[in-house]
Amino acid sequence: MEPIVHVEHLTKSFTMRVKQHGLAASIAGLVRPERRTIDAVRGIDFAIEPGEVVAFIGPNGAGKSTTIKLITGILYPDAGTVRVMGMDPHRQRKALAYRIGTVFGQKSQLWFHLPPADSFRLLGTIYDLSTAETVKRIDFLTEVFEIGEFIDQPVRKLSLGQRIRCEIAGSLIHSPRVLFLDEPSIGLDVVVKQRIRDLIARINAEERVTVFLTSHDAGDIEKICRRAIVINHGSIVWDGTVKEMKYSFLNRRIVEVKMDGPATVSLPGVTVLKQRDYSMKIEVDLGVSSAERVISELLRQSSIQDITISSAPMEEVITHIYERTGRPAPPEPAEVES
Amino acid sequence: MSARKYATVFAIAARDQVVYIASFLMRNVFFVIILFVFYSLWRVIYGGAPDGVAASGATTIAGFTMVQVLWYLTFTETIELSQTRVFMPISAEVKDGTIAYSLCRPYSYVLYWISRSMGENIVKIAPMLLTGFVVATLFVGPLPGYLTALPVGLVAIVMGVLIGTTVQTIIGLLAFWFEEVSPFWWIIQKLVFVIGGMFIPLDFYPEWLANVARWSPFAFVAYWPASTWVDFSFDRAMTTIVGQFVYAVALLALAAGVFRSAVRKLHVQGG
Amino acid sequence: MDRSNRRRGGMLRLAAHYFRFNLSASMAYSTSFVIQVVGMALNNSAFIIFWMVLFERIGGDIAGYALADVMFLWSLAATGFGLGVVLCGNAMFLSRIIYSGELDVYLLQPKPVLPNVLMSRTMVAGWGDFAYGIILFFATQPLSLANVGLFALFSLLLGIVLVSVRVAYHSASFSFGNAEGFAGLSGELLLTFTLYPGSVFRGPTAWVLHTLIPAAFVAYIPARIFRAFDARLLAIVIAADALIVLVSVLLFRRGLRKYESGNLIGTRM
Repeated sequence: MEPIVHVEHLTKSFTMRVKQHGLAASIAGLVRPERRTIDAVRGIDFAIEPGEVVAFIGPNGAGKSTTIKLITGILYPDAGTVRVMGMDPHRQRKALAYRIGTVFGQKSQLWFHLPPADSFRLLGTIYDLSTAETVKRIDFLTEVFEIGEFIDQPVRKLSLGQRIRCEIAGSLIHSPRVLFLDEPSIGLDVVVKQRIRDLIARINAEERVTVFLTSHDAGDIEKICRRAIVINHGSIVWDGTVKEMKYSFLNRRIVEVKMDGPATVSLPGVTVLKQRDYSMKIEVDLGVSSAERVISELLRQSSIQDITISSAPMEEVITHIYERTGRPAPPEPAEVES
Repeated sequence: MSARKYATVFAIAARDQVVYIASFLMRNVFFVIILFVFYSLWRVIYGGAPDGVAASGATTIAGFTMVQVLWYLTFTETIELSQTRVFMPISAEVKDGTIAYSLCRPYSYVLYWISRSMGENIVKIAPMLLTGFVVATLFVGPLPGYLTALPVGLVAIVMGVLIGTTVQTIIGLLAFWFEEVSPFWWIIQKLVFVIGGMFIPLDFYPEWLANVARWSPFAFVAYWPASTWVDFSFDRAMTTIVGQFVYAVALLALAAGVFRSAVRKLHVQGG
Repeated sequence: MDRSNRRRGGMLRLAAHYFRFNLSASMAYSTSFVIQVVGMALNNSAFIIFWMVLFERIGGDIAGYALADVMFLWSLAATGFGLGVVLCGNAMFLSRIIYSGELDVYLLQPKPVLPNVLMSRTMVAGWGDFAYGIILFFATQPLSLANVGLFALFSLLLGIVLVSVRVAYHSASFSFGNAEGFAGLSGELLLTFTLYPGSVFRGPTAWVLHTLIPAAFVAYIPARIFRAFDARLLAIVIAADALIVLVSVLLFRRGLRKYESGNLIGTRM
């Protein structure tokens, strides 16, 4: 199958003026500003197949937004190519716009002082839908997103969760094939977050919409994305399944054991997180000590009543990725999940 | 102690304002251009049909020489352009509810905004007086008696701005009762333009209108300070300062009253 | 789904939708609408009074302009300005839209960026100016079908040029970060100069008023044509105004290629 989004050697840098400190320097800066080049995206490659849900992650300033803007035709690349459904986003901006939907958390496409229903109808006109088509589509989205209750209230009176639901519904008015979501769950509470995730998953399943989303939220990535692309310092440092990512990035396991008698572990690469009576929670770095070695050490001292081995939580994986300096992780074979 | 509090607010706002070099330049460029427009217009008018001759031999209209008219406009425009639009942040605070936090702070809300805004205004007035001095001198020559009138002129201009700022504070507080307050500002601003003699000395008006306008608060924002500087006499100076003082006190009392009833409304409605 | 047939009429349909949309949005706050419209009308009256007082005092004319001629400038400017800000209300906010990266929204929509962004906002107070200008015209000018036609044409041209000049100057924000103050001043100056008798400005100023601040082509020459019809001058005005529109569209396009989507100011060092 032809990839729906295809990015090759994509490169983009920005020139920015350096802000000077002090009055004299500020005046000098007005006349001759000092400039500095920032390489936002440095020759990245990836391809996305139709129907995929891909998480695009990386710390702030890693190049996520720039990449999305290059793919959607907002920015023009310095080098490399982007193809979305075979189109060049910058040259065929308008043609592409009919086929993609976008939700950028900070930049709303809804009119703040008007009810979403009005904005939806206007969007219908912007995307050249007939009035009948628009009405039908709004009805459908109102039902799916359960926004009927407040669709006629001005956006400024909606809660953040209600607003985001309307934003996503609005981005789907023209039945796009690809949906780009930039931080869709930022600032939402757990319940609303889960609801948004369910909706994204549903749209992906029912309308076969390819979803490309950026998020810092572990839950977003783990619960709806099968694949993740990690970008840092403008380069892609990981591209693979979310499951594999967990193992390659953080080769650690959390072992919780309940013993029959007293036991201690003092092996290299093992940290005791908690210990009470005969129970303990330890963290094992598999690159230093294998799981087998830890368990046999425990069994040498007493018998095991209960044991759980789990991989590190997703939050930790993400923190780990963000803290790294951008060197790709050495490829490691995925280990058996407990 | 309390006076120091407001002095600090004043000083910080003044320092903060110096940073805005770009807007400073824009304002002064606009000021110079508007003076140029006035100069172009009045040059033609005085070249036409003057209705009198001054002691110096210069032609006059309504008792003003062309030099006096242009300097008059320099002063009124300084007063107008240097005024920070303080009603905007106040009405914004009222509308988005942040005023509730300001009420908890240990100062008078009205005096806080007036000191803050006057700090910004003073920083704008000083360079504009300088710009105006240079530009008006280049266009029409020096103003006779400029230095004699300077001490009273400075006080009168600052007082004029203070009256304008107090009125703006009241307008900002009207946001408790009206969704959009900027039309009130436009109306007041235009009253200052017309009744206050912003564009033309009130002496140009038909007698009856000039006599009414002269004693309105708006005239003490623009007409009285500017005419005192261009046509100085101790008599006129006394009228200006006393009138400005009376109106400033009255308006401050009104602002305090408006604020009190606004707070009552806030408490009743719970914000 | 093939939408190509409908796409051709798309921009006009969108323009009509924006107009209805913006109008109903302004009407939703009816008190505010009335206050703003009345406020603007009072605002303009202040200046009218100034001119009446001035002409009353000096008698005769100012450099060939009688009171009625100045009133013509005022009615023209108010009507044209009102039209411009009601239909293309975003023109004066273009710098902010560019440097804050808000232009993204319009780049993601399948419509020409410039008209889409300009029309997506209305300034309610513009209705006050629009109505004021028309009333002032009918109250102060000699009425004939030809005169009304010329007035309508010139008002429309003034509105279009005012928007274009704003677009041209605000396009500087693509290259220089926030040019809001500079561009705002340029728009303000054009409006200011259109309101004074053109003949009082001579020498270098007259050059500026035919180029950088083209008040001559939207107000002074139209006022001359209105007093004594001249087909040659009319052709010049239309050609000059078309050129201004063209230049501003080109400047915007050139800037758009440099658009950085708010990334420039996003990082501060």
